[in-house]
Amino acid sequence: MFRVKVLRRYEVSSRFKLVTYLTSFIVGVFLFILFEVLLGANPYEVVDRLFVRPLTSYDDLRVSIRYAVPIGIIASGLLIVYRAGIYSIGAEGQMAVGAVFAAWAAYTLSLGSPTSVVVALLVGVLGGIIWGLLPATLKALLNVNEVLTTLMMNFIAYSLVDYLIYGPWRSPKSYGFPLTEPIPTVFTIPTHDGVPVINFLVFTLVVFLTYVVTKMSKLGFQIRAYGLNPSTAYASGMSFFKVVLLSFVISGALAGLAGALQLLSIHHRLGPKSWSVTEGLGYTAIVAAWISRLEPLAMIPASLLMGALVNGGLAIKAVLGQSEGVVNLMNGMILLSIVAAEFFINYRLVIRFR
Amino acid sequence: MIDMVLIGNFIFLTLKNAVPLILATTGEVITERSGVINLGVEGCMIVAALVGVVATLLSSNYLVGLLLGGLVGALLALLHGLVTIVFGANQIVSGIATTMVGLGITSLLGRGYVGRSLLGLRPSPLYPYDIPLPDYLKPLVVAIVKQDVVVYISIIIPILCMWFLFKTKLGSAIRACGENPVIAESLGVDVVRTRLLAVGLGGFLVGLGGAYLSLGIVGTWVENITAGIGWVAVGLVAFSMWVPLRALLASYMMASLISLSYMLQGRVGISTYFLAMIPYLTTIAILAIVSVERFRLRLGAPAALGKPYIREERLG
Repeated sequence: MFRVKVLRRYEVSSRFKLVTYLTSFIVGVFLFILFEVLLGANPYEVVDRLFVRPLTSYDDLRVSIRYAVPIGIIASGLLIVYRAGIYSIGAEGQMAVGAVFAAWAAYTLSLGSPTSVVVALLVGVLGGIIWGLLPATLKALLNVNEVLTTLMMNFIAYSLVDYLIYGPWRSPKSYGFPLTEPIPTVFTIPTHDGVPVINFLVFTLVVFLTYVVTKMSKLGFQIRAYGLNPSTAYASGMSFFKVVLLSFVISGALAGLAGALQLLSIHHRLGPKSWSVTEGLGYTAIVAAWISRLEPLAMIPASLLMGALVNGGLAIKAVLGQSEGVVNLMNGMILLSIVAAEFFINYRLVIRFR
Repeated sequence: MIDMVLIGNFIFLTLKNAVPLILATTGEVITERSGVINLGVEGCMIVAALVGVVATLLSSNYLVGLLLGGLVGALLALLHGLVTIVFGANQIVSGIATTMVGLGITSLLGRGYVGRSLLGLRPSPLYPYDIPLPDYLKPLVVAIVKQDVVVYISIIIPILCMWFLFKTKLGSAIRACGENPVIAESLGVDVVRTRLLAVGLGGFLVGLGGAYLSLGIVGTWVENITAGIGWVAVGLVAFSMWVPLRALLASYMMASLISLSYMLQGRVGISTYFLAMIPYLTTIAILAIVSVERFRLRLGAPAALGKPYIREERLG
């Protein structure tokens, strides 16, 4: 007979942590590949589409970056709320509303060439912030469960977009499809050979700013303090209200920004489901945030990785005639295995034979 | 003049729409009573909804569909249980991941079953039964009598769960794990095993609710069939203050609002898309109300809810 004992690890080297996280990530991806193979996919093709092509072929790399940028911008904001111990999953809805607000600006305002884009982006940011305000206020004042309220706000955002694209904003020229008019060219952000260069620059700026906020500012310190031990933070006189509200505002602003950027540079119009501006990236960003281990600078590789995986997943979907669920399944598998990995970092198993 | 047919229709819809909510909320109450939050309810429900349809199509037996639905609901919940109870992982993140897995798998595997419709569950033997009643009362009685058996069973289940949680030894072991796992362990309760059992049992009820959604209400498989019902159920758990009988009442309240929003479609000048927001807005509202109440009464959640428990040992 043998017995398994669980022992706590007291000193964990950062290299051991990194290796454990990477292993768990690979386990998650492996489980996904296994599932695809059970569905009849060729394992070589799956690996090729997921890892080789998105990083080697120029065409695929372009598309990967197209996904990576919004994922990274949103996840940089999520990182701040997660550091505060707040589990917001409302980025998807905030992104959608950011796009709606930016679209409204593009349809109604008439401004000069560079100002119009900046104004539309700011209006989009405002939309993202507004969509996060209700869950933020409820959390800050009454400690209402933010997981549920932010998720409900996502569903409400979807309904709002549906109302607009099937109702008042539906384009008469879209051949009956529920799509809005393309936004005026003055409001579009140019891409270079399909690569959203400007968006990528915005993303690097966002990463730099989140680094400054989380590592160098007083707010960043207070956010971390609340995330690690709320009662101690409260006892030392930090304002719970301020921490919750500001972290929600930052993450809402970045999600709104991502929605506006996607609308202005890539989609140019609002649409349903697979044509939507969000494309479910608000949920993928949750995975990217946890992969980064809530470290701002790690967000660049983490979001590129998730962008490549989304691209690869959608390629597999197209090749095998599957549905959008591919990305959801992959996200779920990776997230499950990286949260389970925490155990192997904090504890070690000793097997005793007797 | 009050339109009795309309009211009868409303009651009929409410009783039916409440079934997935009752089962899922009661299941999650049992799970959370053991100290584990399962935010994978939405995922468990949708997987069960698909498996229910597939199993019923293959076996042409609704009972098989419902039970297999419950079983896969339990299996997916146990995956969350493995990650959170055995590995002590963050319950919130793991639950979100479980839901992602559920939504993803069903979207992939369900493609071939979209639109394959079923006959629907038969009304119970109580109907048609000629009841000597005045005409204006008939629609009301028919609304109650013309339901399938699951509707009646769903009313009994919370009562059984009341008895299970508060009158049996296993039930009190589950509650002990939710209040203080260290003390429970010292009293001889195997916390890991008890929590896994509560998660599995809760997942089974959640799965039954999901299977009823596709088999009893929609009558076919549709992608994203749950549309947030699982999350609404998680919200109702707090509203019912972790008591199964209150879960029953909370589910009827929510189901009546959902039915009302269906019936208002096309009757009032409000867009369908805004009516669709009603259940989500209501969930936010009741969560806020519950939070105010909880501050005032200091009642509510199991003390160890959401906290992992790992029995550490010393080398030796």
